[in-house]
Amino acid sequence: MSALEQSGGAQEQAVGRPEARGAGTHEPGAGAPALLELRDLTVAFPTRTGFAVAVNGVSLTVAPGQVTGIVGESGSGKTMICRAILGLIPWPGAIVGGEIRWRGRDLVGASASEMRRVRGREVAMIFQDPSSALDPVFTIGNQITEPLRVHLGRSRAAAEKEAIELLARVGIPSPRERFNAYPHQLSGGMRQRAMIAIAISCKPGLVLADEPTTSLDVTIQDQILGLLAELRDEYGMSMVLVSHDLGVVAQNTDSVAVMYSGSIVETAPTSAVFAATRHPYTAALIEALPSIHVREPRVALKPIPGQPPALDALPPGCPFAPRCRYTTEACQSVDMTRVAVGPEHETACPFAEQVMVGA
Amino acid sequence: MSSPAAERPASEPILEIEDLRKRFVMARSPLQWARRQPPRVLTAVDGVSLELRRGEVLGVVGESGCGKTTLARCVMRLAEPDEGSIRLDGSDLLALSRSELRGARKRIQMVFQDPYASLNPRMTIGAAIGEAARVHRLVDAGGEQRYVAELLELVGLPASASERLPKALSGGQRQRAVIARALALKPDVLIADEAVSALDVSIQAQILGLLRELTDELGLATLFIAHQLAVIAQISDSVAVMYLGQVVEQGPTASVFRAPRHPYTRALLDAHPDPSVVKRRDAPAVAGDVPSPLQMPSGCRFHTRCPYAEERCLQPPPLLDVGAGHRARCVVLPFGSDG
Amino acid sequence: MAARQEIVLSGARVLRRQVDRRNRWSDLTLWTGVVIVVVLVLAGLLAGPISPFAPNTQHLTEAFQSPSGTHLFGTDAFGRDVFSRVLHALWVDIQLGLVATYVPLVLGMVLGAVAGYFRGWRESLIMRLVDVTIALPFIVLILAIVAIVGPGLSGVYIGEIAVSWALYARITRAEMLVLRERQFIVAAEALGYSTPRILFKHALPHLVRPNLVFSMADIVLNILVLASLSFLGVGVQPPMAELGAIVADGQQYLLSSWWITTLPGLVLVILGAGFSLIGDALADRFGRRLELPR
Repeated sequence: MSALEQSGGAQEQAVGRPEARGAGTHEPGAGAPALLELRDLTVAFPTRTGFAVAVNGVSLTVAPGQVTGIVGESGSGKTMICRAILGLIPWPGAIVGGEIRWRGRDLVGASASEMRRVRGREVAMIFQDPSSALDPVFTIGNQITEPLRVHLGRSRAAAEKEAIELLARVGIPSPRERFNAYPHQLSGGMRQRAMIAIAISCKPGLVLADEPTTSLDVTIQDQILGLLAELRDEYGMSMVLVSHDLGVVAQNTDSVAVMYSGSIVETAPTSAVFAATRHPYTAALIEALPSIHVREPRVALKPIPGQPPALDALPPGCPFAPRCRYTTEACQSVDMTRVAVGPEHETACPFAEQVMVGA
Repeated sequence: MSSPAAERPASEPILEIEDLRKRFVMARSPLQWARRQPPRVLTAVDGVSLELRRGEVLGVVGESGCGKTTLARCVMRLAEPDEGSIRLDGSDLLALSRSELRGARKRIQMVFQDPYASLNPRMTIGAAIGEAARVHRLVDAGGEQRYVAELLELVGLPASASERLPKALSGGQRQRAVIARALALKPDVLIADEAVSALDVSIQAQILGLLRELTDELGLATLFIAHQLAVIAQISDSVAVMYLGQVVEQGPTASVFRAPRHPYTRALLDAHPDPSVVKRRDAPAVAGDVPSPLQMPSGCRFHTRCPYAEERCLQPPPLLDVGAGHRARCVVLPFGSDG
Repeated sequence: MAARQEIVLSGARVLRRQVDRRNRWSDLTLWTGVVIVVVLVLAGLLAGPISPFAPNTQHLTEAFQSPSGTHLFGTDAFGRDVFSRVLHALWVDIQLGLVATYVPLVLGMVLGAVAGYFRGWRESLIMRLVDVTIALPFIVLILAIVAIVGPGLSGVYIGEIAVSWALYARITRAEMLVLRERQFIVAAEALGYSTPRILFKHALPHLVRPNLVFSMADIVLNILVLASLSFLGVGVQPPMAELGAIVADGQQYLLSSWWITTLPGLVLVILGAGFSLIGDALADRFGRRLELPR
């Protein structure tokens, strides 16, 4: 019975699963246990005619101290994964299968109070649009001290002092004065820095950054990504960086997972993904990217024909098959479990080695 | 389907924007009014001059607040410029009355950023395109359907799209529909204001290809406005970089992108995350935020953030020629050592 | 893969059941309201043919009869059949409700659209007029107009129309301010469409919904205003049948012949409830329709 039915559809009710009650069961594994492990995670939304699968059996591992990138276009499921980890899937969607193991504990079906302990304190999220993610009626100082007081029990005075230090650390000038500023009084870049300050305030073990720079100008984006890199090193946090921008992911991650229509099609160390991709979608995506290196005479981009499938009408087998240049009938019976094609390099295309000759 | 200006020799620009200026006057609070403080003025576009030629794409790139969108609106006369001229085929658009303007609208059309928002959600695609043609009397009642079908084919949409509502189409298809509607008026000039920014990468490539094809085949003059450098590099023949209302560098795309002569252009290129470079630089390309347009820095507007700034940068630099149609508004970089 | 599909399907069924339940409730509201209104409108329309007695004919010998087979709602002080009076009264009230709502709606929408689209002096003029109209108490304003024109139904009509348009203008202007920034309106301007075309063909259809929702509440209000005014003696003049007037007439006999006031009053309440239910359901549908995606 799915966790969904046990809880009668409401995410907030407690579900009895002994492992979820605080006593973490750690999976035996070679070396350091993974910080975050998604196993066969499935998120679906019921629709009038059926259901739309936003995340389709995704398995992913985030090691401590690492930055894992998730790259994909809209509808790939990348944002839904972040929300699933924190139990914030919008109604009427729900997690309908799989596990989310945070430090060994399964978060799927965890009680509401457990999730509240995890959110903000152990796993924090940075959202895409700081204008809507920050509460416009509270000062940013207030919003930074709130997690400090709620999760870490700091007194008002101590929280304020810490918040001002955080503001300085994220590069907001005149932090003492800005403590009392409202979000609308700050520029886009400053707001995003404020949001980062909120996220790191409790020194979480994992930060989920969902398109953190998409709404920013490219020079500001550059600054923010640099800031995130510094903070990661300083605080020893792991990060999941979600983006549709391959360039951002290429320069800021240790490993990458490429998603398409709810499935991960490829995972690899970052350098391997761009230099020697082993999935037709990743390759097609790279070929469709415009580049600032101007070529004369002009070379046309190679667009990917067609469109992504509707999430409530996924084709059988590999979701990319209808648009893939190597597609065959066999692709319709592919189950998306990944196979290794190199050190830490996995692909969901069982035919990749055969069809993709030469890098 | 050739445009009326097809007979014009290709070397002469069909659209000439000269010294365009647009100011916004900020409303004063009652207190400021009582104290007789002068209202603050935001100069969104400050003396911009550009030329567009048939069959060419001019890219305009810049970050938020640089004035590129205001520029587009001024060219369309959706906003009224304060100074300068916009000459289409020799005649100044700004001198036209409101009613003459409606006729002139046929010749310059615009494609907006959000394809879904640009289409009336209650009108079918065929109706929307047909209305455009009908209002400007390009077809009679009988020929409308055929005209719409021709246009749909031109932009790569199936004929069945004519009966569908915008919400039944994907983002890329909607944008094609918007382009078809714009082309229905047989314009000479097409302004694409962030036309691909809201689209996925794989679809973006399709639309960029389409726009390029249309520019070449129909002899359009396309003004392509974007904030993404790679997109500009891909589609533009020449490019103008804007910062705080001014053009700081312009010239043939290859020249500007390979050998930028303005520190801001350099910073933009350095900041751009290039997928083929799998490693971060140590320091950000440029520090600080864009200054508020209400409090412009004196002299060169970029000098507050510029790593090459010198004493003479406190004087407003003119647009200097650096060879082969390439110009930069900087007195330091083009002539100093290649930092 | 198949097992996962199963899990997803069962989860989907659970959720869909929940959503359907909530939607059915909203539908129930709508249809109940519609049934009530349709029945009462038909009753009023067909008052002539179906009422068992003439509404104004007095049979003093049969006064104060309690409800029976012949006189469904009994008779009043003058021996008039209350049921027949109610049927005729329904038509008067419904007519006023509809006219006094939808004429100002059209008027207000056009003015509000003009104010919101053009801004400038047009907006200032229209909105000041709106502010003045709304600032004065509704009933007082109508009373004043009735005082000028003289008591009677026509006075109420003029008063209602002169006053009700303002709220629609305000609603429409607010919606227009938002709408005119939407890109398809800007696109229409860029395509060189004439202003009347943009206003009427492109903008107005999108402005109808909030006005429609509000109009349901307005109908109820307007009927009540007429009832109140008639109750006070400045609405319809006797012997014309109007629900409020009937209620007023029967008030003094409340303890002895309760049916004269109570039953027509009940009909009035049900009529109001019917419109309100429709308005509620429409607001639900146009607003937070509990819909599953796609």
